[in-house]
Amino acid sequence: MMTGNSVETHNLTVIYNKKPAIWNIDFTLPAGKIIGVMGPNGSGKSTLLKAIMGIIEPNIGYAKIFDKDLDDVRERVSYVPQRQSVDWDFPASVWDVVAMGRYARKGMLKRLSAEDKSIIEESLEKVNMTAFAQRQISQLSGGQQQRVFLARALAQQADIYFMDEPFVGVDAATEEAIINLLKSMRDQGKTLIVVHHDLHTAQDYFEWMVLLNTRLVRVGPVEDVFNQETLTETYGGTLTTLSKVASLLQEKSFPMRHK
Amino acid sequence: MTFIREIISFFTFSEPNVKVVFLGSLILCAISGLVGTFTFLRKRSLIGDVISHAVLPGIALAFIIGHQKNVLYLIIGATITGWISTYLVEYITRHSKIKSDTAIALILSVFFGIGVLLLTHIQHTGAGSQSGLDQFIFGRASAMNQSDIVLFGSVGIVILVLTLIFFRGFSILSFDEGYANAIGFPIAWLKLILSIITVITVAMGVQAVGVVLMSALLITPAAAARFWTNKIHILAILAVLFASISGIIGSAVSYTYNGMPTGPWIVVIVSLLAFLSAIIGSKTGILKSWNLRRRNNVKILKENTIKLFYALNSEQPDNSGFQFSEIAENARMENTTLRSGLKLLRKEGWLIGNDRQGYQTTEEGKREARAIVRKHRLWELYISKYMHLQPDHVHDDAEGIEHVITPEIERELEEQLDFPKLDPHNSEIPY
Amino acid sequence: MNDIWIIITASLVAANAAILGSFLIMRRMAMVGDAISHAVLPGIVIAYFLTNSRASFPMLMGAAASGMIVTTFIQFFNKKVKLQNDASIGISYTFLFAVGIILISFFGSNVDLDQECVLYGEIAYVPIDTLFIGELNIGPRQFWILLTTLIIIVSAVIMAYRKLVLTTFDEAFASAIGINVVFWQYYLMAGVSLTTVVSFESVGAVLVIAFIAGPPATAYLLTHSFKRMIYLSILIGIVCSIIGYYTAVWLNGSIAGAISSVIGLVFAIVFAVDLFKRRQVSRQVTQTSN
Ligand SMILES: Nc1ncnc2c1ncn2[C@@H]1O[C@H](COP(=O)(O)OP(=O)(O)OP(=O)(O)O)[C@@H](O)[C@H]1O
Ligand SMILES: [Mg+2]
Repeated sequence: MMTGNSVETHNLTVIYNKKPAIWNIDFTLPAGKIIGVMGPNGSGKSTLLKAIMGIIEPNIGYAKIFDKDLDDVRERVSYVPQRQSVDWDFPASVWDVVAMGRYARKGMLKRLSAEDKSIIEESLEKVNMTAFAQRQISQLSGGQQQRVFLARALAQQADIYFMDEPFVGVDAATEEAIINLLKSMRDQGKTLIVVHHDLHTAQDYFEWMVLLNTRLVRVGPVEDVFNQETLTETYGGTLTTLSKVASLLQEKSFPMRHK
Repeated sequence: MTFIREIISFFTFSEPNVKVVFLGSLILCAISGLVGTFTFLRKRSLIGDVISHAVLPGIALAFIIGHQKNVLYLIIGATITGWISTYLVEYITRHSKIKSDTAIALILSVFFGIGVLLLTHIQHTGAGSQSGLDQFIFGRASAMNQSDIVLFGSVGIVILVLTLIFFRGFSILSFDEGYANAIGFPIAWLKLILSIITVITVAMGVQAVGVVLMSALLITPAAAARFWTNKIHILAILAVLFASISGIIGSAVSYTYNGMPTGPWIVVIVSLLAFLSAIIGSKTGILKSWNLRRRNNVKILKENTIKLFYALNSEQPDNSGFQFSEIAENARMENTTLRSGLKLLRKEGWLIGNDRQGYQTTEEGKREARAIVRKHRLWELYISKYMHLQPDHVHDDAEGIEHVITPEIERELEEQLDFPKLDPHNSEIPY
Repeated sequence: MNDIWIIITASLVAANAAILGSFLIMRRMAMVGDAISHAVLPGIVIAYFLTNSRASFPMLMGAAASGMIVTTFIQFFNKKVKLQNDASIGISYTFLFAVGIILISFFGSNVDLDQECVLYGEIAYVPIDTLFIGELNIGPRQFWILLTTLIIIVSAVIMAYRKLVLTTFDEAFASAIGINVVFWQYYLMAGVSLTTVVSFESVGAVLVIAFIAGPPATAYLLTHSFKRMIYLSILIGIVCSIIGYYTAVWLNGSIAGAISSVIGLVFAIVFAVDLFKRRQVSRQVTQTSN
């Protein structure tokens, strides 16, 4: 069982066009749990994941993973991007995409070993895509594409997984299969940080939760933070003053901080 | 000296041909600037590039069929192949997985290749060796003659009239095609008319700037104009103006220097206009944003300086005047910065005094100091309440935000927090 | 012998362009190739004028300098003054290209570069300009330059193949596993600049784009494997070069022009067949479902 902290952020802030997309995010998340990240559209969920993983450089603040700098733990970090973020017409097969998960450890020149290949096959097996291994990725349904991305992440054999809306466009049966997969990963001590939209299932899926609306609204165990009041705060209109200020920053090109 | 004389001779029309060159370039560039406004606004710069390269085979074919350089034929030929090229780009992207930039690059270069093949074929077979067709590649305004001008003029007027009639439609189409469709604009027709106008404009414009640089004549004037205005009709007028200026200067240079192609000069001049506009343009230019930043910095400096006095005054309420060293002690800024801050405040009337006698706040200064501290503390309270931040995390945030809070937002904060007395550090919020 | 040299030269350009073009079109950056190929002109002309030779190294330096200038301009318009992207690119490269043409006209007779050659090259003269080792004629200079370039490009791509594919397909994932996406983008752009500069003399600025976009787009329709797409586009490029050369001889016209016409034709055929086949399939599907 994994203990200690998985992710820790300090004043994490990302600004696009002078407007903060996430703003002074400060939290510590435990390891070995399934953690939901929720908030309305455009509230900065994807941006938060990307900033933690260093895909975008935060303007202010920093994040640590397993109490270390990101560069020291790269190998242990995996990412499942939003499905729409790639061109599925790219000429590649399911196998090719899942094999990309091994690149992180293999370096860039070494051939894939028999072990790598069996890991890839195992990953395909786990998401139930073995039959599609040689299928062109352009000929997959949305749910199958999602599963390919999951298999690629599995093939990485990481310790912490960041998943951006893995349940979008997926039917109920697949969703259940995926969440069971995530739970079994959690039982092996992995940490899963999952962006999610469906309020009905959130309580069943997650043990911890991050509620986000540009600023951090709440973070903590689900039973503490998931209630009517916090949801209204996150999704309701009480934060309009905040967004007005954010827009003013942009309009007047004011620096958020200065010396 | 001959150069000056040539320039003078150009602008005084002392040779009859000069008037033709002048008028021709003016008409072509002005029309391109006008039509290009919509190309630019619809973000179709690359399509403009395709059309302008794709007119080349049309020109060559017109020559092969007509056996001589007849401008009307050339324009018709150019319009046809230019039109086909845009159609093909759309067709390829719609009916295959090939993305639009690839389709554009492919069609552009293949059509140009076909044009080059045909042109060289004509030149090598003798018939066309004096055709002057190569002028279409970079443009040679001086090759125009009187009857060309009549043709350009009449087509130009038709285009102008059409543009004016459909101006509103084109504008809505450019800003928001989906919306135009939703409110029942006949966008299919509008698009058709606009693209016909564009193709014809390009077909004519290549006589002045040539096929390679024609796309610049469509987009650069409008881009330059964009820095000055947000209003679409002013944008169009400015684009026409910029294009015309470059057209005149470009053709003057080409006329003066024998062998200088017109197109590159027109493009260089209109690009320089765009650079200049970007730097000094009033709406989105650099100058404006520098100004804004400077004003912001002044505001921040003023407010940070007067804030120092809030703390000083509350420690020593008799307001007897503070020495520079005393003020500097608590200031988290350089001494020189602080000095200029003090100077600003004195000018503003928030402070009186100097280094020798010490500084004192005026009534207005006290009010301002309270205001900024109030905003700071309200904001701290707001974010600690709604974002559940620890009190020791909110200060830095408020340091930045206090300067942007408008009176309206301040009132909103007060109401939402129900006119609080204390901030998260239990300091009093001054009203 | 001359026609063989010309065909070999064209094939080398085709191979270089096909490899890089396959990456470019999958990254939706075909037009960036177009911009680079135009924008390098002033640098080439100045290098040519200063050294008074067609030595490749100064030309490369010149091209690199103009490449940097055009990137700066695009950044300036796009980022600093917030002009839309397509216009930023359009303005910047047409400006530099125009400056290049003006420079050629200025230096005029001093330089034996002419305006047309800039656009469609002088591949017909390639066999005349040969290299010697002592007394021994070892073949056209262009051939050696392009061969060297091909070796460089091929080894660079093989070495970085996985990174290039990964950053092309999924930038976010690539950077999550610690690949420097921006670096590999520039790596690729450096390859494109190199290829355009060395291909300039033989096929010119516009037609190198036909090689970059055409064969890869055709191959893209024919295969579902990226590796095969690269091999196939090299093959298509070479076949087009051969057919194009003889077309040019037959029509007594520009060789580069003829090759790009053939590239267009081959694409059109493949496109039509592909479309026909897909229609066929969907018709069968509707028939069986009825
Ligand atoms: N590359 C970008 N450039 C400019 N603004 C951006 C960029 N990416 C995101 N934004 C803005 O930042 C904000 C947060 O975006 P983000 O994608 O993180 O939201 P999200 O919570 O993931 O939304 P969704 O639920 O729709 O996926 C949005 O307002 C968005 O418009
Ligand atoms: Mg998102």
